[in-house]
Order: sequence, then C-alpha cells, then structure tokens
Amino acid sequence: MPSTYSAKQASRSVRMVATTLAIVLAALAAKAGLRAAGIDDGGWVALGFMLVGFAAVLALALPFWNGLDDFQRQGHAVSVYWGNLAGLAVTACIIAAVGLARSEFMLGVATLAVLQFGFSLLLYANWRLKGRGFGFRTGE
Amino acid sequence: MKNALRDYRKARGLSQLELADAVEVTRQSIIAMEAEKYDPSLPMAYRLAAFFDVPVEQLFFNSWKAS
Repeated sequence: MPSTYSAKQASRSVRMVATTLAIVLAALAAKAGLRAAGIDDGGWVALGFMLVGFAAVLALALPFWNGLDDFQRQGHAVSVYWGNLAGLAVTACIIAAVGLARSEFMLGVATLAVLQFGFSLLLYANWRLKGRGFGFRTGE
Repeated sequence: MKNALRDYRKARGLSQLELADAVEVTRQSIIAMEAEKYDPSLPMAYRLAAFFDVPVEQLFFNSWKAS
C-alpha cells in the first residue's frame, strides 16, 4: 500500500490507465473471438464493455479527483474545458471541409456535443447551488 | 503572491516533494507557490502555516496591509 500522498495519487493514476487498457484489450479480444466464431452480436458486446469500462474508470476517478489539491483541480478543469471546446471547433472544421454534414459521424459528434454540454450545465448548476449551501456533496 | 515558502522549506531541510507529501498537496503546487505563480487557497495557506508553525502572514505576505 502506498503511504505518501504522492505515491497514493500515482497509484490511482496507474490504476485508471491500467483498468482502461485492460477493458479495451478484453473488448478487442471478445470481438475477435466472436468474429472467429462467426457470431454477429450487433455491437452489444462493445456497448457492454463500454458501459463497464466507463463505470470502472468513473469509480477510480472519484478518489483521484477527491485527492487532488485545488491547484491541480484548476489545471484539470481548465484543460478539460478548453480542450473540449477546441476539439469540438476542430471537429466542426473537419466536418465542414470534408463535407460530412449528413453522416453518421456528424450524428455521433452532435450527440456527444449535446450531452457534454448538457451535463456541463447540470454540474455548473450544482456548483452554483453548492455556493449557496445546497447541492450534491456540499462542503464537509 | 510574495511568500517565504522556499525559505521555510529549506530551513527545515525538506525537498519540494517531502513538503508536498507532508501537507498532502502535489509537488507542482509547491513549485507554483514558490515561483509565486499560484496563490494558494485559504485552507492550503493555513495548512502550510500550521506545518511551519508560523502565522499565515509570515509565510504569505499581505501586500494590502501597510507595513
């Protein structure tokens, strides 16, 4: 068991990366196995692995985030906010340049963008409420 | 924010990582505070002051206060 703060945080990071890689590899192996057996699952196996993967990474991300100091949280929050916005802007340029306006790719991007924006608004509302003494995980 | 964090840390003979582990923050935070590129939150400032057993204003200087 890691004893120092830095060792604990490093261990949490390694566990998140290792879990993600393990789930991706397991999903690829399952897909290859199904293909070899000639079974068409219609994408359900991949969906199952994605759900399990996100649940596992979220469960590991919570203690990691709670262990971060405010400087690190600020760094992560700023990077995710501007990184996501820049990523969406570049994707929009690619869609416009390549002419993918009515494609499944566009539908996927739009779904992701709308959900990310929606959840961001929810969490921002929670943050505003916390400042008034309400909301999820209010203070200590 | 001007501060004496580096002086106090060196006086104790601690590395940045040792201080970071002692007050449960990351080394990057100690580096940024020592470089005066990051102003710590009030809890972090109090925690550091408690660790060095000095008043907060002795560690992080109050530039708004007339000296």
